[in-house]
Amino acid sequence: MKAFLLCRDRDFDFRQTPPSSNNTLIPDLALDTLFSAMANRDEFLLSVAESVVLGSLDNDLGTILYRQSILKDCLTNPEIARGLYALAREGIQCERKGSWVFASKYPTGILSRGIEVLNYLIEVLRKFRSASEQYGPKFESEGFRNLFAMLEAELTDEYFASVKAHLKEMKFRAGVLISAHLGKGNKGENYVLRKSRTKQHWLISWLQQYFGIRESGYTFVLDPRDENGARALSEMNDRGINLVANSLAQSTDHILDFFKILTAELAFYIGCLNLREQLAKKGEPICWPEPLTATERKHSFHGLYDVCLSLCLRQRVIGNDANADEKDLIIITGANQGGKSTFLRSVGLAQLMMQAGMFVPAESFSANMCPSVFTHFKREEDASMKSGKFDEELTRMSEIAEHLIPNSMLLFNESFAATNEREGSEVARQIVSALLEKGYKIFFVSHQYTFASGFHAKRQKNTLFLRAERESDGTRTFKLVEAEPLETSYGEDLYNQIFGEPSGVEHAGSASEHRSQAIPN
Amino acid sequence: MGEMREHLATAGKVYYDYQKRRYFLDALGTYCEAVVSFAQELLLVSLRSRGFTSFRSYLQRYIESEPFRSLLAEVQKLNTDLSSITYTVNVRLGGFTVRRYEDQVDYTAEVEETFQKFKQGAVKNYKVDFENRLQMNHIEAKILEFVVRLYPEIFTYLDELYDRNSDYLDKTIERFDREIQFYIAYLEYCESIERTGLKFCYPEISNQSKEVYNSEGFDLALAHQLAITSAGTVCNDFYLKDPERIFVVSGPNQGGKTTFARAFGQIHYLASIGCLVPGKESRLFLFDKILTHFEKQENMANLQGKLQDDVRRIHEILEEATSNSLIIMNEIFTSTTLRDALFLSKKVIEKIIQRDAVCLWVTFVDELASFSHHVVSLVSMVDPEDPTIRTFKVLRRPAAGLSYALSLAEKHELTFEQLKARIKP
Repeated sequence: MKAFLLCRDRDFDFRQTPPSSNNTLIPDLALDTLFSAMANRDEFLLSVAESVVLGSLDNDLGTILYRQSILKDCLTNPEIARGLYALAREGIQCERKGSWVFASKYPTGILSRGIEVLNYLIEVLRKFRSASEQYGPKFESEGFRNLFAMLEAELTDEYFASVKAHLKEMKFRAGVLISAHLGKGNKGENYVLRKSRTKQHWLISWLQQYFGIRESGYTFVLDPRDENGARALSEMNDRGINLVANSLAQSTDHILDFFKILTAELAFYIGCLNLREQLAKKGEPICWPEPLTATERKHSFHGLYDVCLSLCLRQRVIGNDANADEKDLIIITGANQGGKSTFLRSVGLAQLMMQAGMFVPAESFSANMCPSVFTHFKREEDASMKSGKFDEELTRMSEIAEHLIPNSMLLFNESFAATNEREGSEVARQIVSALLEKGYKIFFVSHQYTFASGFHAKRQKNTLFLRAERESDGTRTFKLVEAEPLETSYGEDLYNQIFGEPSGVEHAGSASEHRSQAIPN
Repeated sequence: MGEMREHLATAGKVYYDYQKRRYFLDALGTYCEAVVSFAQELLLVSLRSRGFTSFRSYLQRYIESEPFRSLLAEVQKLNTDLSSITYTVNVRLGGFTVRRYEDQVDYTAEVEETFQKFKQGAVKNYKVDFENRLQMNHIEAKILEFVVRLYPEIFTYLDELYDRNSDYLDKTIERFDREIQFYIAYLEYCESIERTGLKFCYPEISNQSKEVYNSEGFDLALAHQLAITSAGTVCNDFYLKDPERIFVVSGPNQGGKTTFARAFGQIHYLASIGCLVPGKESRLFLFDKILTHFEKQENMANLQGKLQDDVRRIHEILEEATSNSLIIMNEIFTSTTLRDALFLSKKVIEKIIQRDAVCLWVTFVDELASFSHHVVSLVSMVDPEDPTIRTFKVLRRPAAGLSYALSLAEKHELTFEQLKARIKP
């Protein structure tokens, strides 16, 4: 019996080692905010959200669509989905209901505990079957339909009856029957528990005995005062039931594991439900993304917003539109605090969510899958000297290069800027050019005009330039438009704002020259 | 054979008769099997030594003899019979019943079958490990007694076999078993060292020529220890050309001098008892005595006493030594002034030269190294780039005086200036 709610043909591996890029993905994309929204203060939901979102980059197209349809079922029947989740958790609780919480050292104890816990588990399995009979028709996804069909086929009334019979038999009211061989030094070994033949008619067994076909055997009766003998006899009994006790305890564990896996796999969808509810409260849109295979180049969307930013703010956040189909390199330039980093994060988040099988924070979204997402963001906390910092950037880049998988996506945020512009641009240019040759998809936020304009001058078809807009009075719209890079990032505005000097007043120096160049009229 | 001895020892220890007899049967079985398979394997290898070939023909005659062959057949039959016995015990509160097994089904399998559908991944093992005691308790003994009653023919046969074969062990084979252990143990020991890339060889041995020679030799004890930690062992060569008789080894502390001296002695001693010696190629002198003086750490004795001991011991050695002896001395006369040491050493070396004995002498008295044309000076080397690094190579070089100790001190910040700076007023 398998849950198979995250992958069509296998259990999701919650213990897999996450890709090495995760160390940077979580802080760079502010994934913790996403995970806590999904968790809704439940630690288990949190860990499941984290494992599934980060462990799903290698999903194929089929798995994404498989999960999408299961999630759609959950969004349609949120109460039933939560009910099933609660029931699966009840299954796990059975482990703690037994009178012996810890496994005994003796087979007799292990067996009794197994029987007790199994009795509880059987009851939960019964409830599952009736839930599946009751709610099954409301679910349309392949995943849920298979789960319900399996529960009904495997957990029949006859099956429950045979389990009950075994649980009763295993109390061994008539003593245990053990077979053995003579081992070393004629001591008994290979103790195997045998089923006594109770069904044989008494007349047949009497006849067999009478005609000498069956020996009556030799019987020993223990002296009631023989304590050593009683102890030895009970050890013999334990040796006999050792294997069956093990088998029963392991079966108990298997059923518990089934509930654990079911709980964990359902937990992911419960997390998605939580997230949807929070976004719905704010009136933020969600959409079902359309994934394409990794070798294609597709990235077009409307109203794509940074879900983590939105979760932190009271008001809605501004979404972006773009069409980057057939593009390998997207260079984002423009105003400081104009929403470039936010946009970069929204691209990464949407990609991870789509590939995990979730909905995406946008009005519409379609992109090719990427087997891995890497972030190379400026480390602002780094207080070391310039050369040291640049060195650190290159170290991180070389770590990324170690783990690259073809068709991966790389998000650069003001990378290689910890040196003078000419040199930094040249390094960036060489790195980006190499990555492009190898077919990677790159989003690059940069202030480096030499770098950006260099690519612009090449006028290659696979490059798209986006720019953070600003009105002519200096206010930011937080919206990106398709536009060529400019030589200033409006740092002067920021300066003016912070130093409290009015915008538009000319200062001596190059900044103002740039500005006049940058903004005609 | 070791296994057989173990079975016999067990048979002596266990309490119940049929337990004893079964262990005795095991000993017999092991013995027969070992002898037969050993005899067969010996036929497949080419043997050259006189000792081995004659033992091989003895063994062939033995295994083809009538008594041995019938013993083998009886043991095999009895073992088959005993292992065919399967019985059941019906354990109840306060008693049990023993019967022959009647094909009842395995209940564990049935239970497993029922819960098969829930199988997920790997789960914990709940099997309890029972202590398998050698002795039987009286319940087990009672069960065995019932089993004996269920299968009387088989156990009567066991009794007979036991009574008839109390002296089954062949004396020659028993002796061979003991003696061969030495060769095996030594070869295994060599092999474990050879795995680290070191070499062993059979030396050419002479009782005339004192022109000894050995290439790529090493200290066995060190090589064995380093084989465990898989570190490399440094090999060294040595040779004497007439009229050279005495190696004087000097050089830095912990530079491998003592190790070299030990290796020198080991190589000669092993050669004298017919063993492989460490090294790639070797020509050695068969000595009559090997006399050594290695400094002992005697905490009790005062300095005077120690020097006295040293001199007395040297005196004994020189008394005992003949022109065919091998003398190895390691750092003697350390507990006196350099002038005394030099004086004593010179006297001793004169005596050794008079004796014409082969000698290796580890010393810090560099002057000895150029004493006469009978003396060869060997020095434990350091890395020329960094004198604090020892190479553990011992080569023919003129003795170099003491410069290394200073660099070592510097490394530990213990030179005069350093120490002065470290110690605050």
